[in-house]
Amino acid sequence: MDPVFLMPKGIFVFIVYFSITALIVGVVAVLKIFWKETHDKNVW
Amino acid sequence: MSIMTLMASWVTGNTTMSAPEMSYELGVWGFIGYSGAAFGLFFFAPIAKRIKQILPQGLTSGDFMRLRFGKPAWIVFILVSTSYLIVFLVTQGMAGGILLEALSGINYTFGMSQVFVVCILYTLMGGMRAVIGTDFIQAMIILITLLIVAIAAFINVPPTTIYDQVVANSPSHMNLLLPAGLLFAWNTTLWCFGEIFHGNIWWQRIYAQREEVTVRSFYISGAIWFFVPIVTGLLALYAIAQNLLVPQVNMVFPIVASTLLGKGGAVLVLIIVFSSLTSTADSLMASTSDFLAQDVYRQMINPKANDRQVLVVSKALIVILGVISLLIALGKFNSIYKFFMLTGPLVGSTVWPIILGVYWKEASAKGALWAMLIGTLAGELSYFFYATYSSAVVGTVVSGIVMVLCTTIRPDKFDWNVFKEFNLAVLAEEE
Repeated sequence: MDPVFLMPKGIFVFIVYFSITALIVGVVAVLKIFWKETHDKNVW
Repeated sequence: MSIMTLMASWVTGNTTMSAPEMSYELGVWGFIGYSGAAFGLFFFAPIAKRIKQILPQGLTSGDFMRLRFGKPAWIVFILVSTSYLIVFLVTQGMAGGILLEALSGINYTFGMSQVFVVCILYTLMGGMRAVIGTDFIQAMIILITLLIVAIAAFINVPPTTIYDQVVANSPSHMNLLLPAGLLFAWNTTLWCFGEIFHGNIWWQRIYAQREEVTVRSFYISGAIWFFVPIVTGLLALYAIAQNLLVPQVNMVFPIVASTLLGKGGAVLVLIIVFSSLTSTADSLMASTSDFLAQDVYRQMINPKANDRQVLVVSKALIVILGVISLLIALGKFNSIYKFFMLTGPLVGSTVWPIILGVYWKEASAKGALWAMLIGTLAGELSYFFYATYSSAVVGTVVSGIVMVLCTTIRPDKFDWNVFKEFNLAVLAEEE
């Protein structure tokens, strides 16, 4: 019989919201860096 | 741009297909364990900086192994690396074939073959330039589409409801003390260390980057990537909560998306997974063919070869690698992840030789050779006779012990000037 310790509900809900928010922030940040680099340095 | 190409290479068909698969099997540990792969990028960042400093003119990861540890260890490294890359390529093709079959009913063999044909053609036509360009576009498509699916999913069924239903239907999926889950998390993290530390995909990017952006690009891409398997894995818990019928564990993600969002969801998943696996498959083909052309053809077969000859060989190797992978992928395996786990000991056994070789003057060449051989053997034995999820842990730990023991018993006195001479020779050749 495996030992049991369920992930607390609050932690699970936090992970869901935090990870989605973090991914949104990441996408925006990368797009910003991309815009800055291509706009300023004309890399293409 | 460096950040995007690093991240896109790490968002593979396995991240979007296997992370949900493992969450479906192991619950919360599936996505927690998979996200541990981001630590490979974090820990490799300082090593990448050191590599850039000591070997700025290198072309492949094999260059480092050859110069640092000599021919025997280099040959073993080439075999290890090539075996890993072929299995990796096979899993990408398999994921594509399974996806097309699950979402559109296209026959697996036909769909999988199309994935390889498309990747071979555009890698052949565009080479590394096309790979890096498409990496960026593909990474953006993956992230934005994944966000759309996830947001729609959690608006449809709130996280609190998913939690209650998972606990009611299958409490072990929320169990933080699940032994298989804990083992999986350690194994995946160490395995991914090996994948990154030895992989020519990553080394090529280090050589191509400016030194000042090397560390930053690994940290930022790792931080963004960290959340990708968590989000894809969370979607698998929806399947458990809703008691969805999943005929094959590989299909969790496509089935969840099409259930939640209908045909639109199916199309979105098709876009995500196709982008992720083609961006990885083309990187693999380009970097492996380059690796073999430089390390085997130029170094072993024809040392006087000019750039044009190397390029021709590299293109031929893209086709050969694609065809070999396609033939292996014809044998459709039930679990992509378990099949891929075969490579855990191969790459895990290279971690310590690279870390110690980069920083430790005394790290011995014989130690590196035996660490890779014994580590791989021990890990594969563990895979077949003990537990699938133990292979990379065993391979990495055993190779580390062997490397340290051999070095302690008979240390080398490596001369760092070997790298300096190599860099000067390459620069002289270029001029």
